[in-house]
Amino acid sequence: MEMPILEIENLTMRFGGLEALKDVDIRVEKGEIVGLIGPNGAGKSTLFNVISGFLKPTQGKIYFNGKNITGRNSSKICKYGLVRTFQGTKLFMNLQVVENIQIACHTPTRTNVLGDFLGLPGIRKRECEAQDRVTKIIKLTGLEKVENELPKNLPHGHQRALGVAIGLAANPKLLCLDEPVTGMNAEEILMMTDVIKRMRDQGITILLVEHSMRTVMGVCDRVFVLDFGEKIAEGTPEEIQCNEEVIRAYLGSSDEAHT
Amino acid sequence: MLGAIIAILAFLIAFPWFSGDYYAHILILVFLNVVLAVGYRLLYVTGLGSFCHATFYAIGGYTSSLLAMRLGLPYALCLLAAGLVPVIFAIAIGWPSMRVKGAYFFLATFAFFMVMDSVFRHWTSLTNGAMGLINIPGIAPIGTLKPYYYLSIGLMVFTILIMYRLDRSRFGAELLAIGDDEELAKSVGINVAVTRVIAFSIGAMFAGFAGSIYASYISFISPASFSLLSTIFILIWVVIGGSRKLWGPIAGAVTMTLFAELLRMSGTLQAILYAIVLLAAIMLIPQGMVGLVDRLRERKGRHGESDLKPKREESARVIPS
Amino acid sequence: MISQIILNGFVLGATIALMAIGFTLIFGILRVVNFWHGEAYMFGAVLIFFLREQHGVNYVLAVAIAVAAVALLGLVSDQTIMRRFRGDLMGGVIATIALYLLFQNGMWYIFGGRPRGVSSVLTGNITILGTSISAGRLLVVIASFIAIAALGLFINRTKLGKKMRAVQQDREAAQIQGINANRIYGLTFAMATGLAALAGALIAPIYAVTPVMGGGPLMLTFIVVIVGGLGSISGAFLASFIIGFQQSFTAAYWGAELSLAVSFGLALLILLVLPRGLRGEE
Repeated sequence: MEMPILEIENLTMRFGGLEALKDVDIRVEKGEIVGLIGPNGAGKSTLFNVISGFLKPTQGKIYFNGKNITGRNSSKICKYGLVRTFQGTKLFMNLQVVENIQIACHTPTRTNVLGDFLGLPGIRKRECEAQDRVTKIIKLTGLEKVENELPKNLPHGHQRALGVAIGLAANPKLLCLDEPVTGMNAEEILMMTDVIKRMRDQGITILLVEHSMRTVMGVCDRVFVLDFGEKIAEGTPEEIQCNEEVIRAYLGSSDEAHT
Repeated sequence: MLGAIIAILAFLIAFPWFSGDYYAHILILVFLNVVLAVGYRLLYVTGLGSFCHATFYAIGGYTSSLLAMRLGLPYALCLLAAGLVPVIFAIAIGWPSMRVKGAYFFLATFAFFMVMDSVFRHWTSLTNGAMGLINIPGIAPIGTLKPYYYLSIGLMVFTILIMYRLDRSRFGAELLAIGDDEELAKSVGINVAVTRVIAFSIGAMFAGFAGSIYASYISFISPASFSLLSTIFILIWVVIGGSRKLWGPIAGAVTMTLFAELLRMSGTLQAILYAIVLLAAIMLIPQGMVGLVDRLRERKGRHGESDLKPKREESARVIPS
Repeated sequence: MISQIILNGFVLGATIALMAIGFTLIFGILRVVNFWHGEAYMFGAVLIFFLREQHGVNYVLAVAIAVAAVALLGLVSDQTIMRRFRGDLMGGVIATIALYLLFQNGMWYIFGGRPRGVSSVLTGNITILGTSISAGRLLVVIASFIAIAALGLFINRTKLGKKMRAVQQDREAAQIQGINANRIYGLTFAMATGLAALAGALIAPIYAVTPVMGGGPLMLTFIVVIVGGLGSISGAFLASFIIGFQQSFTAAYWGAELSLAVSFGLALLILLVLPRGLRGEE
């Protein structure tokens, strides 16, 4: 049995008196597309922040490819291969599209300021290989026509695609997408799900948080459901759709609380 | 563009031969201030403004002078040391300060400035305290101007070239990225703290070189040469000039230094005038001269041709082709 | 002797507290580092000189006028100038520096450098715990404490005070709740500069009045808010006395000059151990 790429054990996150996550267990296998859903405030973003190193959990452990990454900082976790994107449009607004992607690449020049500066030949060769990767990513995310634009001049769909492209450039083994299609129209959603599938085909495991049930059901192999910080269900999209707990959680959150 | 730069350089090189000592002297100050401003900019673009750049200027000046006067070392070595010693301080104060954010960093470096100011004033056996060091030797007899003029213009050109190259490199792009969105930079694996400390240190190094030249040119330094006002001025040049592009601090340093010199900043009325101009400037162009030019270009672009034409030459910034 | 030093520290702490609390309020609520805070202090003292020595105005009335005038100046400067720099830390710094240069040099031009004296308000000494303290300095301490207590009540008990705290914690949330952030900013700036002027007004009868008298208190204010934590009133209050006592002790044994350096060194060390100062937020 192959090691899961991500294993979260008993994860608890407390902010003062508030328990944002409670004893959460999640396992993601290599090559899957896994969805994480739940009503507003269920703790999905908190979970993302914890596994990507932006928050230290109060309790629990996180294993990435067998390695304990609990409490490590975000740039370290990124180097291991766990990359996350952000909600909305979080981009380098003052760099061009292509530069946004280049900057996220792990290349030799990043750790070798002097070598980069002097333009050493070995460095240049590996940089050119990295440039190939950048071109491939630009093609994959459909940004060829706008690669020299500044993000503020891009239409919304392209900005979100750039967000994913940046994550992709960081060479992820597991890519965690935070609400990749929220606020998109049908055509843009189709484009994004296509990108997600193509990334999986290239060997990247995907974990995504989403509100749009239709997207999640359409693209995910498995789904986890959170409510009030606890995992209340897991299974295939079909299983989840019929799950009573899940239905109650979503209905209950849209009515006023009847207690 | 290149032609204009060469023309300006040629003019500046010929300048002291026909201008007279007074104006050449002012230009020396301008050249050194440009070095300070572009050095300061390096950390500033990452979103962290320090308040101790003048301290590195001072450390460079004192290091160079003391080595020359107490140990009789040749000037080249003094100059070199003047660049390296501030780096040690920059790392020592910069690394722990990376834990603190924005305004705290500003105040922490300010505290460092004040502590060092006191060290310069009170460690009299080393620095001669408030009386300062006199008759500092350099590359030419005391009182000569032209050798120092060419030395300082040489440093300025050297510094600008290095900064230009850094800007086009990946390191430069990382600095801008950190300034744009620190969280996002971290999430793609950029080591924000290390990158910032490197930027801080490089800036400190060039400030140190400038300090060495200043000290041996004037042949006299004292704690008053590197006062609170000097560190305030550096901040002013970079903000008024605009920090996003390299030419911003250069323009800021040139204009504000010339303005202050022409006002001969010793009188109270002149200081009031300077303050009024400064206030007007920061209110009218909060993004600096660079921001102003960008805004004008944008407006022109809207009436003129579309911006969507790919600019091939600009895309090679991060990865050299 | 020791008790004299302690008493001195107490007086210094009380005076600095007035300035530091205002300064930290401006930072906490407006995110501005107010470089002309020392000039507000100076204006308070100068106005007392002007009103009392040159126009024979009653001291209490003069203090009230001085505080109100400087508070008005603070309000106007916020609404016309600082308004452009909401959220722009460095731009705000340059603006307050420009105002500092303007006020400093303006006052130097009008007033000249010669120190002036203001006649004492109270004379005679009072003995506390075996040490004598001049009645004038005791007045400063008492007045400071009253002002700080009043401020504390205002911030914690009144609606306006609650609105200030809301803006400090989360500006956007506060605006959604209908709080006019801009008015709060103006009020904060006015109050803070008014407090600084009060400190100057209280000190005027005790020490000499000069245009440059704001420099020292400004330095101490920086140190105190670093140590206490930017934005924290209780931190500023606490740190004012820590620094006040430290200053008093080092001045007595090592001299006044070194005293400031020790304060800055202390602030730096504390900052490196506690990156948010004693009680800072964010």
